[in-house]
Amino acid sequence: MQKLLELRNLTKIFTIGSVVSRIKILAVDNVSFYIKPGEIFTLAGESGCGKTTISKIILGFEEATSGEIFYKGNRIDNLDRKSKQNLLKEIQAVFQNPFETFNPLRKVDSYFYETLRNFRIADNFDDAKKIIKEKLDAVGISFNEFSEKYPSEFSGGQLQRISIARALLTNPSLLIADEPVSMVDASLRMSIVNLFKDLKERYGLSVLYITHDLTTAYYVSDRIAIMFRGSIIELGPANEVLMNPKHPYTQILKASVPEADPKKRWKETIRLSDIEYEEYRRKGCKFAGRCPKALDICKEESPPNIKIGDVTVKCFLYRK
Amino acid sequence: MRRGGSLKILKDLLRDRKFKFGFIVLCILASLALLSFLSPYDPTLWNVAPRDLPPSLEHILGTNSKGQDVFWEMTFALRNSIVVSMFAAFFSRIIAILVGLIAGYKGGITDRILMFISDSFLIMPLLLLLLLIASLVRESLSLFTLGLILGIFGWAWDARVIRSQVLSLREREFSFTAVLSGSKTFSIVMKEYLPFILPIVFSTFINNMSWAIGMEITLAIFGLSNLDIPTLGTMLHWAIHYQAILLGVWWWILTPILISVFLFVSLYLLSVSIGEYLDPRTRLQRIGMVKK
Amino acid sequence: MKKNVVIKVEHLKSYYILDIYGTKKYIKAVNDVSLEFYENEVYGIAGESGCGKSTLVKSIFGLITPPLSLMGGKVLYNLNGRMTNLYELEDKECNALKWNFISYIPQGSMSVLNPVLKIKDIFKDFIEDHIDRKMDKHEIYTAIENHLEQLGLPMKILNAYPHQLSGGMRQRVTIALATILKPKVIIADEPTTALDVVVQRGVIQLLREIHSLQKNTIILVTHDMGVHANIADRIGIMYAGRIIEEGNVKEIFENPIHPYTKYLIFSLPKFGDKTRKESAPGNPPSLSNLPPGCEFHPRCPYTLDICKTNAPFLIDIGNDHKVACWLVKEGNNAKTP
Repeated sequence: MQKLLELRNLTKIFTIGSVVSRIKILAVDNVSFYIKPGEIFTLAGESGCGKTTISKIILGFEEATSGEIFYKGNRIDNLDRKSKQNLLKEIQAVFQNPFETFNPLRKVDSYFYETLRNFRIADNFDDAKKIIKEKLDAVGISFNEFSEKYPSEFSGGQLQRISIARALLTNPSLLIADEPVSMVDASLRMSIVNLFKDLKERYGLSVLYITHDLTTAYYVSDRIAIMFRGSIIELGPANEVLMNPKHPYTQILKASVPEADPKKRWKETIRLSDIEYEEYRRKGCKFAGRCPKALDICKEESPPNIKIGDVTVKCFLYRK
Repeated sequence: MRRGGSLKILKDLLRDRKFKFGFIVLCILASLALLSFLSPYDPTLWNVAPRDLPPSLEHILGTNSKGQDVFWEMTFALRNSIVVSMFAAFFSRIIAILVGLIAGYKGGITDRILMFISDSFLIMPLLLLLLLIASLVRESLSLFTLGLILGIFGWAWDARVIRSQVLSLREREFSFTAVLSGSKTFSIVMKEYLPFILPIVFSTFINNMSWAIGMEITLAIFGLSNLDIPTLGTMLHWAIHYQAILLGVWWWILTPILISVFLFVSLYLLSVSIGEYLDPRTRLQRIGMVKK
Repeated sequence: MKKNVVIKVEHLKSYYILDIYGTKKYIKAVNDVSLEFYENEVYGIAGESGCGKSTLVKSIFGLITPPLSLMGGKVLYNLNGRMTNLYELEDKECNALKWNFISYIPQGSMSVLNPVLKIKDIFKDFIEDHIDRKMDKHEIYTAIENHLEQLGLPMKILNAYPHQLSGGMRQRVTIALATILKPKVIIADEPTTALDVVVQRGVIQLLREIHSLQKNTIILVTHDMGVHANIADRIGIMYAGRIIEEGNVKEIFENPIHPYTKYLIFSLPKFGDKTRKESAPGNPPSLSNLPPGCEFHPRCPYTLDICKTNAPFLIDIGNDHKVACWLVKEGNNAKTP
């Protein structure tokens, strides 16, 4: 099987406002990509680029305006409630804020027993305990330090691991991780990120890793897609895209990451215009307003997706 | 959710001075209300004692112009007022919770219809309506009916408060975790949201009691409730009717006033301190401290 | 070349004291910190969330309000050659120092701007509040324009309201505001958190501009080691309320000595580096329930007996590098396993 999850021409338009004044926001604009089994695929971009909306649509928390989603070859964007419930066994998620992931007034282990009960994975306490222990081992948490505790009694790093353990209870094939380490302390981040790698290698788990942090994306992903204002503007093997960025936006993005090496301090000053002219362009490339290499055609037509080796770039600069 | 039992909770609450005072006063008032079961006089009978006697050993708070012992009359009044208000508050909580939860979680058309109804209740000129209803059904206005009517009018504001709490809870990440754990709507609302909503319910219950007592007193003073049933309001009504102050029968009018004041103050203190205690933010601070 | 000390912190202790239903809880956010800040340098305070760095700089600025309490120590400002303890000054004198001698840019400060005033009026009000002599409007506006021009900010923002600017631009305006009176010391607390990466670069560049123009001291607090690498001259690593290592930025990144610093530096992912990175084991301690002795010892693989009972103090190991660790012997070329 080549494609575990596939998105085709996914579009999401949010309409805000009432009858009198409505604003349309194009959050996801005709996005297509696929994830292979046993691969870590990153969706990267700054806030507002649409990456979180995509994850919500995949999980069924939002409905797409148009487009299709396929999982193991079957359509999953138009399912009824029961099938949606079954899909949760296959696709699970962890979120950004470990302290908000669990209800602060409930004990954390209650979610575990609930998951096992709801999905009929275990019907008695001993079976449940066995499975929970297994998953906690996989993330490096001991059962005793986990039992009968409230979220506030754990640290951020521990909670995030526990969150991952909960997601693994149903033995999913795809884990969606939305900014899983941005709220975790820097010295503990790598342990979570390494966990994704280990789970991929040991169990063949695929991870849709959503982040704005390019350095962890570089470290952990196999392939990466860079998003800007709802469109994927560059997609390819992580090493290729991040070490040799082609799209001007990717280049600026990478150059803006302060590297943890005093020898690599920025020499020049980049002045990227903050204030936009013509905010929501109807035609042309969305980045044209701020692009240092914009051509005339960039402001008129939407750029095509151009394949260069393993990488696909959405930019007129690479037109053959 | 309850750790260490209710006794521990009571002990914690008693550390708060506000709660302590309110609790003690309320206990005293409750005991007075319970004393009514031991009353040697039937509260509905007139002229069971000499009229207008000042406080003495035999009649602790004196007697009134109807020939009743003020003290024993007061115990009945207290009991009835408390019962009516508790019933009204309980009834309105149920409506408020149901409306608030459903409107908040379902959203869409359901939400709009429910809020429309709720807003209509809010903007209705409540006192006028109550006066109208009461004047129509005055004779058959039992405590039960009064409580019911007050309950029907007392839920609108709190329903909206509960709804907005649910709206914000719906967006929090643990709501998504609950869905991912396979929970259905009802289970999510009960297990995830109710613990946040309970503080509102408790403190508004007590507030609503205060409101109901106030309403009852107002109706009674206008002479629009069943004046045969002794309540704080009807006591006041009769005292005013017989011009107690002018005639110097001050113990008759002062008793219901003072008792009402103590009742209101203690209820207020309780509602504030319980609200604080149950507030999820202070609860979180306490959770880490129980295990020592 | 010995530089002048502009602020000196001596054995500073600030705790948060909470009273919850009868039980007192002490959060030891700043637990005996001694530091020196020199003229014309960028000093980075690094450490993770909950290590006390925000509280440290608040205490240096003089922002001690309940439940935060000053438990001991001194914060000395170099005022005209004399080292004066901030906490022994009168309120009036303290306030005169704020924004003139020392500025503080708090976390999330983009919301500090008055939403009903235009930017130029926010600046004008600010200047008028803090300068003694009377300046006429023209003089003030010229000064504002010059300042913005120096910093490379566009003039057109002066006529805008705060909500019309993006988050990044508001952050830069706040920095411009904090520096218009040319203070000797600027404290920036997490100036780049919650900003998009591209905007972050603008903010960091702005801070560098200001530093090179005004030659002042910048105390930068952030958990982002990349930011420190890019802008700091010296770094102090903070852990559980104490400074556990301090030194020149290149030295710290290339030669970290304290086991915690080692974990911190070596776990940072880099472009082009696919080798496996490991995190520190265990979890950071709670500031209200610190382990005895060295606060890091429960997680340290090299714990000695003394580590469990006595907290180490900062030792100079040469090359302007200080470490607080029992594994280190005084003198040059100290190395931990």
